[in-house]
Amino acid sequence: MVDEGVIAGGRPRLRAKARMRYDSVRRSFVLLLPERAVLLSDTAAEILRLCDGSRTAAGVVAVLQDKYHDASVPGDVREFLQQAAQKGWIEWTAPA
Amino acid sequence: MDGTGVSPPASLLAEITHRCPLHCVYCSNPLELARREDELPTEAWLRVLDEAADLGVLQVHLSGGEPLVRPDLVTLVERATQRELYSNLITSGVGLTRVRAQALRDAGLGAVQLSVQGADTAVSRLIAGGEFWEQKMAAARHVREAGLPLGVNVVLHRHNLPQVTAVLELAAALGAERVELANAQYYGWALRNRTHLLPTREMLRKAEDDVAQYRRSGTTMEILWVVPDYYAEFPKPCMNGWGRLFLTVAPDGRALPCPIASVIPDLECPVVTAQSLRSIWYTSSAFNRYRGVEWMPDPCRSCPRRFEDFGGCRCQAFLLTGNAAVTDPVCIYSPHHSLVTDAAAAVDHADHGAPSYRNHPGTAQVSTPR
Repeated sequence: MVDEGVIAGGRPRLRAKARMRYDSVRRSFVLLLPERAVLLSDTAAEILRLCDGSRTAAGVVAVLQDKYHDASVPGDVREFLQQAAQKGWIEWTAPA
Repeated sequence: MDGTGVSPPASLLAEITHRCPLHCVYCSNPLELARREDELPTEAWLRVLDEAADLGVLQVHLSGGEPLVRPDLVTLVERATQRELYSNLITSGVGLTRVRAQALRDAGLGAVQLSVQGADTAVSRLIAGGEFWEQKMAAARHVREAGLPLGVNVVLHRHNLPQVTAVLELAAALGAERVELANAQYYGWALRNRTHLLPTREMLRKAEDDVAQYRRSGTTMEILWVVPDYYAEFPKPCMNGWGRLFLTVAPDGRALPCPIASVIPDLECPVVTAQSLRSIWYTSSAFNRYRGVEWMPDPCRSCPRRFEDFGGCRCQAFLLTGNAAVTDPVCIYSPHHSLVTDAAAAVDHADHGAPSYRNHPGTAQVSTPR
């Protein structure tokens, strides 16, 4: 489990072994890992693209809030990041 | 996707050679191996990779045989990378020098899966039929030093199930992120050595407990346990369905819906040098033969599990019953289920004897290991 403290201060980053790209055959973003390929929703891809180790979770939320002005953004992003970490898609770099 | 309701393939298993320095007693490759002179040349493999990418393949597993025996391996990885295919190298580790590991990384290789035969040199020698342990350990170091993710693959059977905890500890010490513990499947050479390899139910139960205990110890490794067919109630969803996600190209260019499908004698395997990968996938009789559920006999035809296990393994059905179109005998509802239970029941009384080692074309005869 990822503890709340890490989420608050850490910076999510796509795991080095994971690669994300657009697949023009399936018309979807895909996340590729050594043993699996995951079809991503556009929203999931948008969040993962922001996970480059430069922003905290709050920073990711801020970018998406600015764009969508939706009250559900912080909760949805936080939940997604937690799941993405559990699935081994992203890792948290240490809080600054 | 193309109007037929058939999805594009997600994964290509590129068996670039059958040559291999190891002589594993459970080798799943066909009894008749492709010879070096029959192997597809570099240009043909590059075209296969291009066609695979165009078709929607996302991942390519470079395998064999030992793929490192091909001097063009880096060139193939480079092409896969150019076409945004995620490439995995599936290797024995023999021939994986530091320089080679770095060159593969620089070419864009995604990850390495290293086979390990057991937790010590004795089991390794017994299974692989030679002294490969040190080379494997060195290969793991080179992979990690090159910054590539490492997975460890272990085929399990009666000789290494009792040391499964030590195998997991070894994988962790090698820096593996993932371990695949795959109970042996009895095709090819493994079927020939079945009495030598098949564990007892008690051995399996103990090993499963050991794996569960290791998981609870707080490891960060992903551990995959592939259920042993012969002690299961229902068959595995072989290839996740025939012609559904996976495509294999054998060293001689034959395209197969499953890596061992060439055991089915009347299956006309299309060849990538004669036909495009697209027409092979969507229109060849081989890829359509057991696709979906229409082909199924009873008891699969009316079974609610048919969309889960797709009738099990066609090759196993053929190898055990002589008919590839019947329900996998592993299934408790199969009229041939006793073929599996009898083999398992005979394990306790069997004379396990000496295994028969596989000799590869172009390799010297191996003597029985000490």
